[in-house]
Amino acid sequence: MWRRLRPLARGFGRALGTIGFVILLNFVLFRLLPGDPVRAAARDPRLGPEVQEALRQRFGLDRPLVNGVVSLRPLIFGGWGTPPLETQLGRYLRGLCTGDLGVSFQTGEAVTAILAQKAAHTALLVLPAQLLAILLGTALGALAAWRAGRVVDVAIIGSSLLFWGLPTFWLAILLLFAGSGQFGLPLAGMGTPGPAASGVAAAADLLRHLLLPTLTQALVYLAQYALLARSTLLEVLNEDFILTARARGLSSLQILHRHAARNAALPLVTLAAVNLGFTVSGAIQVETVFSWPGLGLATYDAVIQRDYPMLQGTFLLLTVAVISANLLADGLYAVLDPRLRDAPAAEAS
Amino acid sequence: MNFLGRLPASGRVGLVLLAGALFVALTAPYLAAFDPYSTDLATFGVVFAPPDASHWLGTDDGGRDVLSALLHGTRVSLFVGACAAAIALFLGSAVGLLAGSMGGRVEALLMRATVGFLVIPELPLMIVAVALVDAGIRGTVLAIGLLGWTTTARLVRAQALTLRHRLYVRRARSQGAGPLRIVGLYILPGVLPVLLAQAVLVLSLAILNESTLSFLGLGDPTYLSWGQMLNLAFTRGAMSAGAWWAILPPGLAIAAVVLAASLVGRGLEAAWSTRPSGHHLMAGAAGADPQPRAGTALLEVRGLSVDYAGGVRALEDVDLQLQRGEILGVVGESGSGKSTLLLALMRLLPAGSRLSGSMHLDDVDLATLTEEAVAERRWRDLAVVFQGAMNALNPLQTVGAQIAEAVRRRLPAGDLDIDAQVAALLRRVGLDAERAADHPHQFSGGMRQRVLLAMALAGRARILLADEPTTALDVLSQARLLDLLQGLRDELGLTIILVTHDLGVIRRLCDRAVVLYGGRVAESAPVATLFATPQHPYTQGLLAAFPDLRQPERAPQSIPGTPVPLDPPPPGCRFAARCPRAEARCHGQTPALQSLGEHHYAACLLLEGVTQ
Amino acid sequence: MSSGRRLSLIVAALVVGCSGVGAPPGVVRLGWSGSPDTLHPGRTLLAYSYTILGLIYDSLYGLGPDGQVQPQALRSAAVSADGCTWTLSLRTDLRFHDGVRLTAHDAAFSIDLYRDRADYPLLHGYTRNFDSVDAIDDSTLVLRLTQPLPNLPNQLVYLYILPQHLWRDRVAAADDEGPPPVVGSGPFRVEAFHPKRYLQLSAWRSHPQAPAIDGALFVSYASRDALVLALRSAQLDAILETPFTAVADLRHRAGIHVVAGTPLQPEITNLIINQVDPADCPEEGVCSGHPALRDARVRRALALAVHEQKLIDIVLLGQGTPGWTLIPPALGDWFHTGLQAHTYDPVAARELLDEAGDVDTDGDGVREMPDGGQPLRLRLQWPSDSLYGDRGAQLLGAMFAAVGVAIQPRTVDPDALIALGGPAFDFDLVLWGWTTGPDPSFLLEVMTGDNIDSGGNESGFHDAEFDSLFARQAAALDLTARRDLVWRMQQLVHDTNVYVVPFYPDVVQAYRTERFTGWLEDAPRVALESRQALARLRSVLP
Repeated sequence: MWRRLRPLARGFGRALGTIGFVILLNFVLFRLLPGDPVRAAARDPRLGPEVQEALRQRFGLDRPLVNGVVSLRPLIFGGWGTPPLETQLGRYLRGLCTGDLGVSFQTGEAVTAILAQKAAHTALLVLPAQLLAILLGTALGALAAWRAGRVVDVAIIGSSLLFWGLPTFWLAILLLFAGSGQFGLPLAGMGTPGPAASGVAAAADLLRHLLLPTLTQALVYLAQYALLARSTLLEVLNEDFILTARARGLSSLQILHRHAARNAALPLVTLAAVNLGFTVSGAIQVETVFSWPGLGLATYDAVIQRDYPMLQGTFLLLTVAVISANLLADGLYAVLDPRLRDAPAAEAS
Repeated sequence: MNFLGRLPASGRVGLVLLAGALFVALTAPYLAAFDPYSTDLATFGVVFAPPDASHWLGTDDGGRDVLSALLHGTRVSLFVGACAAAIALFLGSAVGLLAGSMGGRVEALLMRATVGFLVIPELPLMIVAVALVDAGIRGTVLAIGLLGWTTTARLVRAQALTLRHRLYVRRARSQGAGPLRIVGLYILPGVLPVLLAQAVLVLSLAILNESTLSFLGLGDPTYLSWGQMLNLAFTRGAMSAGAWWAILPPGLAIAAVVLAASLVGRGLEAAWSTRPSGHHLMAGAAGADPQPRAGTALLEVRGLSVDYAGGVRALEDVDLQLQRGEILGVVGESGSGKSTLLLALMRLLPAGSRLSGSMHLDDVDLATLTEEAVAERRWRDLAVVFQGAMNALNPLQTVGAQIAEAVRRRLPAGDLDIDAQVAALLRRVGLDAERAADHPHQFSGGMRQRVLLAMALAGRARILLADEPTTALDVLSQARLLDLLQGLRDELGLTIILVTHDLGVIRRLCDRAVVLYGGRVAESAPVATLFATPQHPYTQGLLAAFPDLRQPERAPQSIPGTPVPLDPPPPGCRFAARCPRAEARCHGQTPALQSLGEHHYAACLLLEGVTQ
Repeated sequence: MSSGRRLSLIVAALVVGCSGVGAPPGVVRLGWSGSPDTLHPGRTLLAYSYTILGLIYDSLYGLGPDGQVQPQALRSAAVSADGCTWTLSLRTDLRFHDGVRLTAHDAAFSIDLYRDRADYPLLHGYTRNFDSVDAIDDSTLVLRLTQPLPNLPNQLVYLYILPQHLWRDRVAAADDEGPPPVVGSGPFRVEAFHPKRYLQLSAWRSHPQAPAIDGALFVSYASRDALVLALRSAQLDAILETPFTAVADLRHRAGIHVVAGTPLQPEITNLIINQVDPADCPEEGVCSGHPALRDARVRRALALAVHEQKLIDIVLLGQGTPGWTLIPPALGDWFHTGLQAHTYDPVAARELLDEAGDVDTDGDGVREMPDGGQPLRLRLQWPSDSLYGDRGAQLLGAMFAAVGVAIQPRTVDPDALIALGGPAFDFDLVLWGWTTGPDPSFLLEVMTGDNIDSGGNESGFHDAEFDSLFARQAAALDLTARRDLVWRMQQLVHDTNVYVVPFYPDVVQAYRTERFTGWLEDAPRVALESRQALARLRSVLP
């Protein structure tokens, strides 16, 4: 039993290490950014020194980063007198332990609460888009593999690569304009602003708002799945056991269904899981164009506004998402592939 | 590196596109009618004017020529892409090479760091990095380059790792070559092709990333890259003005270059990979030029020729007869066409190959059947045990399920007897019936071969084809398997065609043997005759190369030279180039099989008139 | 049924389904590209927030449709002879959105709160020179000042009256627990607020100037192009920001009307010239400004080299007026009409540069300074969130090149740009702008020496006479006397050419008439979203 759990435990250990690394990196990175979050807050001559000082205190920016370093840009040493737990790092880490990521400089709300809401919004956008991309992509990829070298194949590969190569924001804007111009689809947000509607109407409204951003996301990711599905299926279809199966007199459909599909699904599962982690940040462009109030837009705004607590929070969340997605992929792989159940876990994050 | 010649058509299209972009980038100042960087106030004309004779793509938000900006933008976009890609590739390959060739702690540490960077979402990190290093074009290049190395590092490390364990590298290390020397002489050259494909992909990613950063307002507005053109168009209301001419061309240009780079990258990968373009489920066409059945043999092959797509003539004019209950050995070196013969008999030739001649089983010519009709006969009439025991089984299914699949073909649906049948089959080949629940990777090579055998028996086919069934096995397993085959023939009355390059197997098991060379039958005789009095110079060579346990003092002699090329084969006797006794006519005249005695045939001009 | 057909049916169903949700007939939908960050009056920093706060809350004074200050919650005001004591009499017919009556005690509480809270970035600043504020009775407020403040009404515009009964306890407990509910006494109350998505207001019927419409929806869009499209497809009734490129198209569309002109809060665009001598560098300063810029003749030459109309034509597509001085003409009497406008004159600019001794000695088209030979290559920076910085800088570069001055343009993150500005003074030229209220002291204060260390003084302009004039105008109660002081200050700034003001941009808004009539379009200021404009709206539908 332990032998089976050990790779899993090691995977978790590594994941925790990576998260720790990211936590520290986040802390340092954002404090290296030029500009002062307080000064950045307002460009107004009347924001006198006493106001700035009050804001600094409010956000805890008057404390040293750690004992020995007051600020990173410019580099100022000092701050030895502060108790280690009262430094900026100390308070940050203390907060982390209790799930407290601080309050947003911009809105004053708790970062955890904001992130929870934004993450839900992004999931609403990303999950259907990924699902669509996976279904459509694998279907197209399978078709391309099936007709390898034929016109259909070339057309599918070509158009997949074309969509992959289109700048996402560009595609998004074109779709936005085409969709709203031709179909009167909404131009921004998650729902028609105003009084909340009843169940069915609200769902239809949400769907209308989801349509274009989902389509954009799906089109962009489609290529990855199509290309991977094509190459893995082609690889599988060139395996000896496929020839064996055909020699056994099985029909092509039987072979595809019983022998090729599951084998070809393995790399796709990994890609899907890894993508799930990354699409959140990939959603930045789509969310920006469609004003979708999710994590991507929040990240972008936080960078623009030097909102350290929000930045730290989003980066941590995104990283944890990617890492858990990788763990999930490893786990799924182990379930799907009997060869891995006995072998030690391969390189995992 | 002859990649260009092997590059698929799509890769060449991509290459042409990329070359075109490079040409435009280099000659933009001469191609463009206007200078988008001009400081002449008069060049700022009407904002968002539609295309006309002087401005083919209209004007942009500054009232300047879009086409000229697009041409100059090629420069900037390619430059940024190339510089960022260079940084990413350099960093990535340095880390990858170091990790891959050093191993140990260095590797562990470097790969941990790579994973650490890999999990941080790229775009947000890049946004922060740009803010960190400031928004000049250098900042863009640095941010994209410094953050794009991780995939390259992983790729290079993986490649270096496989190279490091290659024999020649290990030999060099054991002879005292230093790590630098090893990297420089052995690993780097091996990594380069992979790196080349990666380079094009990284380049395209860098161009995309640059456009994204520009769109988010983080690019360098003083250089008109394609991304910057889009940024200006979007922030300055091109959409509201309906100025499609300011929006579509830069986006399409980006897409075209990225597409081109992807095509080239994929093409390069395809060029050195041996991955076939088709697959096993693509059926080959039915045969042409059928011949009438002449004898009474169970299986009669006449005038069988196979041409593969690409002009390889794998089999030519092969005749053979298979008697009921006989074990026929087919022997020859690799490339002799023996595996093709099996595939042809099963009608499993890859798509695009051409089959002619006839293969009569009873009164049916297998060569002319449709794919559906053949599929119906497979495993009922002919079953096959493929070589390469590992890959012939689906790794994700239990062996029981795979055998059951073959049993089910024979039995009506819903028959509850299937599990018992599977168990019986496994026991028949000497395996524990409980192992039906195991997956292929849990079996040794010899046992897997038995599983395949059990599967082949499941259809109760009359003829069993076995392709190198003993090749990958140790001596003990070989012996057991051969005994098993022998037993099958004796007890079930199976007729077997055994394809092998191992003369020992032939002598041990077969009644009769056919020697193939270069796709033609060189000699065919009962085994005893063949070993006693080989007539064809090639057969004689083969026997000389075979260590004879009864004459241990005679050192085996291999046949000098390389197998004959078959795309297309040279005129005359296929063996002429390597034949120690070849005469001038051997190079011009193709010898026909002639009878040299009872069931003994050979195709050699030197044997004309010799009759035993 | 083919899948393609089914899909199109689904799309059609979704499109039709839209009628089920959205704004009720009496609610006007207004689109803009931003959003309030928070509706906490003390914390907010964005102009978008102040627009909304002005609808939710009453202040003692408010801005009229002409952009001038007018009484709001105030009935009458009396000033003591020394100008230091204001006796303010409040209206008695105002009620907070929870039904509680608004009294002078609420006003006193609010002003005290703003004065006490140094961490309220902007509103705290409006209470400077306030000595004490007391409610004598429910409708009378006495405000004592430490010095006379002629522009006190302007300061009071943003000091929103908060409901004391809701805020008192919250504030005492340090309001990190979250802001009190947004309850004001203004003509609109907040129904829903989703930052960056939308803000829903409903009419507060008991307000004396209650609007006729049922409410207003402020919808945020990511881009101005999207705004235009939303208006065109009737998803909005009006848009408060319009890309200049859309104007021509919108004007030709039936049912859509375009209004353009000076915004309620006038804007100026200015080129900041760093003329700080390293010898006078502030303590934390870098003071890397190009030495040639310390010569007033060079600065004047740059001003003369600017072709304002070309900039307006290209950058604003004509939607702006040529620049003149720090105080825009939109500020009425405060604008110094006697100043000589810079007219585009490259010849004069070249002569001035020649006169300053900066001539092109090596023939590369760029002038060099007389002694050091340092070429006149100037860094020109602008904030990356600027709508016209890119093209503006490119045009300025072309204009300066024509007189032999080279430009190294660069876009900079706004925060980084603030860091480069005062008191670091690590730049040559910066293209930026200001938004101002009706009182000139806001823009004039930028140029005071006191503001050098705080960073507000962008050019490093330091003039003792200017500073003393500023102090005097701040306390000058006589309107004419104060105007004279303000004019002299403008003259001082104008003559030193530390700011080149190429233009004052207009704002463009547009509206549809199917659902609402009575849009305010004849006012001197363009603000379809102002109290007065919304008060005039009438729903067309029953």
